[in-house]
Amino acid sequence: MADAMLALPPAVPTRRRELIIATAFGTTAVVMVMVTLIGAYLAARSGAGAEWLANNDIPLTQPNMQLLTLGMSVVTMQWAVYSINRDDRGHTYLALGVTLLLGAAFLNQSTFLYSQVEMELAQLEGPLFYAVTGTHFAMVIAAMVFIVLMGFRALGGQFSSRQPDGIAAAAVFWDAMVAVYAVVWIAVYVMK
Amino acid sequence: MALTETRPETETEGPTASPRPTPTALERLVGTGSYASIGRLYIGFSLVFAVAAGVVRLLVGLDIATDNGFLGSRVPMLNASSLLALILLGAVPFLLGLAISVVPRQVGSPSIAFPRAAALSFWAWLITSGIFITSVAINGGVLGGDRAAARLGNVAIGGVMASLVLGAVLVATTVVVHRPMGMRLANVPLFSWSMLVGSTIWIATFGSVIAHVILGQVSHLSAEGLVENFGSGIYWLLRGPAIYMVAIPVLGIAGDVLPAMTGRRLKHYGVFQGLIGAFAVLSFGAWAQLPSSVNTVVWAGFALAVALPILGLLGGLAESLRYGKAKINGALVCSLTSLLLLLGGAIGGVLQAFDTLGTGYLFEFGTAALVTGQAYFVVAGALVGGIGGLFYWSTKLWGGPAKEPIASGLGVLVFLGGGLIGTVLIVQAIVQRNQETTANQFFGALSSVGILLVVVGLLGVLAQIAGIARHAHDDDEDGADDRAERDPWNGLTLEWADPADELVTVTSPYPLLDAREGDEEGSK
Repeated sequence: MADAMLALPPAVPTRRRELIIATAFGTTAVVMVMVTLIGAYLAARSGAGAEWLANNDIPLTQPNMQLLTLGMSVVTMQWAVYSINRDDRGHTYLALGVTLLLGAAFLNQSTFLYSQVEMELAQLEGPLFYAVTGTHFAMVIAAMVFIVLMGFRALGGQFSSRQPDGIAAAAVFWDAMVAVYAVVWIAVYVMK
Repeated sequence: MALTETRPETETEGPTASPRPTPTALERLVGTGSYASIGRLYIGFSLVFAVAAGVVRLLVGLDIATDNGFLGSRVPMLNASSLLALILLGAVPFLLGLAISVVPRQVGSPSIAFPRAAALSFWAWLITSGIFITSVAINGGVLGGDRAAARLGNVAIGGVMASLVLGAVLVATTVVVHRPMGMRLANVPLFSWSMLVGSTIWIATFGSVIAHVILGQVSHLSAEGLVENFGSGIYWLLRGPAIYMVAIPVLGIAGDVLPAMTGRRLKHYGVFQGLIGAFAVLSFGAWAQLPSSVNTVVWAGFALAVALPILGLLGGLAESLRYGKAKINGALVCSLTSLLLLLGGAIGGVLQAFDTLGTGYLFEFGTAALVTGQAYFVVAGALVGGIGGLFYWSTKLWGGPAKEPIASGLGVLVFLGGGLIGTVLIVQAIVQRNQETTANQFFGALSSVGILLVVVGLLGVLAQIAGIARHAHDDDEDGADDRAERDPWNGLTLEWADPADELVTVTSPYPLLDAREGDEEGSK
């Protein structure tokens, strides 16, 4: 038995920050997608003038609540990072769960907002409105999947105060998603 | 361990364990997580696709030269699609494959970051490239006339770029995270440095283009609508400053090849890194997407300034050549001539800048030909520089050195071809001012000759690679293990370190040269 143990090759050392750095680069690409879409939206709105959203009424209540929801989720996400850095696994799972719940609440509010706006894809504003908000919708789903994956890995014991990268990487993407929504909120919902 | 990492072989097989079936060659190929294999696959397929794109452009040139219209109304579609394919299916993946193979070795890492994600990047790129080629064949691609095929082409472009972004993320992460102790970013070999800054620009730029791909799909556009979407949202990728990003790694290749050929370290290493960084910054073009952006002072400034880092790098390398006796071979010839091609592209950019000063157009140059000429210069520069890297790291990539003087000849062939088609298109833009069609057939014939030289050169490179790999395989079977063949240049950077040697300490960009100089001082 002892010989068999000695015969095992050494474990591959896990490199610190690998996942965080890769996530940061990947997030850059996603943010560029969103920035370009928002830029195209603003350019089209500027070109259309008073015709823009003349036939639709976008209420501000849901977007405000969505921003508040995501704002709270930033706190809970950082709570998860704080907890895993202190080997507080219980609070880590709790914080990740609450973050997921807030993400799901955001998606729920988005679908409700779509039903309120009654925007047709064939309209002038339709493609850009759905491209901007829909791509962000997809970004939220991707961030939630990221958290679920990292949560399962944390459950498997892969993350701790010595190796908290997975949770921190998920937080990088989550925070970027929230920051993007803040821009969407101003560009699409507030400025109309 | 991350899910995307290669699982270590930790299982020990007991006496009762059933023997594992030996994977077939196809299974090994598809299931590989080896960064070297993935890099080689990227290089091989990108060269094949570049040849295919060149052949399509050759047909376009012949159609124009003979004026018999055998391609019918598909000429604009094939012209634009072949250029886009040369960039996204040829030059960029070619350099990315080179980086996936070389960068881990340069930074002393046993593997690229997330090797299975690298495999995903390659296979996704290969499949989406195949879809793009299919869409071109059925009148889609970009500027295609068939709505379904054009939508297919639009999706394929997005898929290709997403795959390349994934590959670029992994290369950049490898440079940032996988460096050994002592190798600060200031000591990273220039090719790895250029891939770090280049990958960052690729990630940001392709991300921006993907947004327009999404818009094209969401809008349910007609074929004409997709043509407009390409013109307003994707075309900027083919003109300055964004087009230069294709060739950022070429500067790093030249910066690594020359010191190895002279055996001397580059003085003022930080300046070289700064020049490459400046070139990368000046090739960021996502801010200049609107057609009106070419009329701005900032755009003109970018077009003029982009030549400065290239000239600075050439000057620095020439200074190094002056004091060191260089080995002249395909790697050196290609890496230096690629910079000349980039200067040709910069001339095209300067002409555009003068033409678009103020509002409207000053000289009424043929804009499309001018932009295309600049793009061909830069893409040819990227291909020639990449071929230089291919020959330089040939022993690492394919197991044996490139055959001289064939390697030099092939590099010169692609250089001449790329230079010819770029020059012809720029001259055509000047001659055919005010949308004239003067000497159209003549220009078509000359551009055909240029692209033919490129195609023949690339085919020669593919044949050369196949020959080296076959020869190396025979040597392996003979048990030959010649150290001089493994490192024909007496290399200076970490990728040339021999596993049999003592571990080297990294305190400068040239750790092997440091070790040799330390040994010489010790023996005195």
